[in-house]
Amino acid sequence: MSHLRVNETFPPFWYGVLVVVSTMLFVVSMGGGLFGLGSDHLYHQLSLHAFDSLCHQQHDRSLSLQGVVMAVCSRCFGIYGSFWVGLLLLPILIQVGLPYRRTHAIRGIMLALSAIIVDFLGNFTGIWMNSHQSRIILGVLFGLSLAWLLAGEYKQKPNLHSHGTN
Amino acid sequence: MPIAFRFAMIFAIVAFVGNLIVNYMVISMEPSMTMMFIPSVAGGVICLVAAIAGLLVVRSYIKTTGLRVPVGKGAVIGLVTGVLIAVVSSVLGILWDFVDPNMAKNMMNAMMGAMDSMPGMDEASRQAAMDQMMANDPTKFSTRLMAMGIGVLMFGVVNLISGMIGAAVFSKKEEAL
Repeated sequence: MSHLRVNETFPPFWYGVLVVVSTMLFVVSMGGGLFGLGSDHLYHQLSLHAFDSLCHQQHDRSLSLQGVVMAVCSRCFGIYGSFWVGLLLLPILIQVGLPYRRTHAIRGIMLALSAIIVDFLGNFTGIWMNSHQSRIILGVLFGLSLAWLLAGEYKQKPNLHSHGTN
Repeated sequence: MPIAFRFAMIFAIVAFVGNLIVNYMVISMEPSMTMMFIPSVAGGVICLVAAIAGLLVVRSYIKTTGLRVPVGKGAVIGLVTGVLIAVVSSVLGILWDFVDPNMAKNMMNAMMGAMDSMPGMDEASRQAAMDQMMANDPTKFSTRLMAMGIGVLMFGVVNLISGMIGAAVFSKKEEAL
């Protein structure tokens, strides 16, 4: 008698949870401006509180939406946004032929993280000044590489286990 | 799970002690721009470590037990880790009041002094920042309770994701038959 276990390491339930929580992070990271609320509104204040221990939230390094500064800096916005978009799109792209190897995805994460650190250090030491664009691009690369790893693991070909015959 | 629980507790204590060190560094400094910079950089580093604690705990769990961790279990370990970090560091913060009841007040005064010394800041922005600081007065119990609630939610969610990533990165794949 043989048993087939379909994608038991990453069940669809947990992928659903991942999509829900990343949607929540992305929406809340944009602050009250997304819904046309002012910066004094309770929702915006709560969104600021939510990210104050995860992001420096400096106004000059953050984007604005409808005149209200977002709850996270432009780099974090790039990370949350691209992670969310990647989680939704990458499983489809992997299904239609985008190559996926776990080692490549992990290297991608390390490379994107290194680029962010170099960008930060270059700006910190005054060698160059980073911009919204550079921070967003590097954030997007990091978020996408994280999503590539998880989406790729989710879309891995199912392991077919045979427990032998009785 | 008790092993994961133990690792999570260690991270919670590390996050608390790290924050404590940063707070006392800021309190002991003369008001300056650097003083504003230290908590944002050091605090950022501590919080980043707290955000990837799920990943690190999953890694430690796999190394200690030698077991393969499915992504779902990684998510649960990460979630528990995040919640523990938020709760334990908040509770330790409240307990620290018995050791030094003036720390939160001194920290707030130090930050306000630093803001006064910032040359490039216009009066309106300074007032807005001070109002924001007063509204989030860390000496109030209600502020701490709210911070703990938001911390549980945010660190829980972020570590849930980092726990999943940890499971995906560090679990050895079974050989396909």
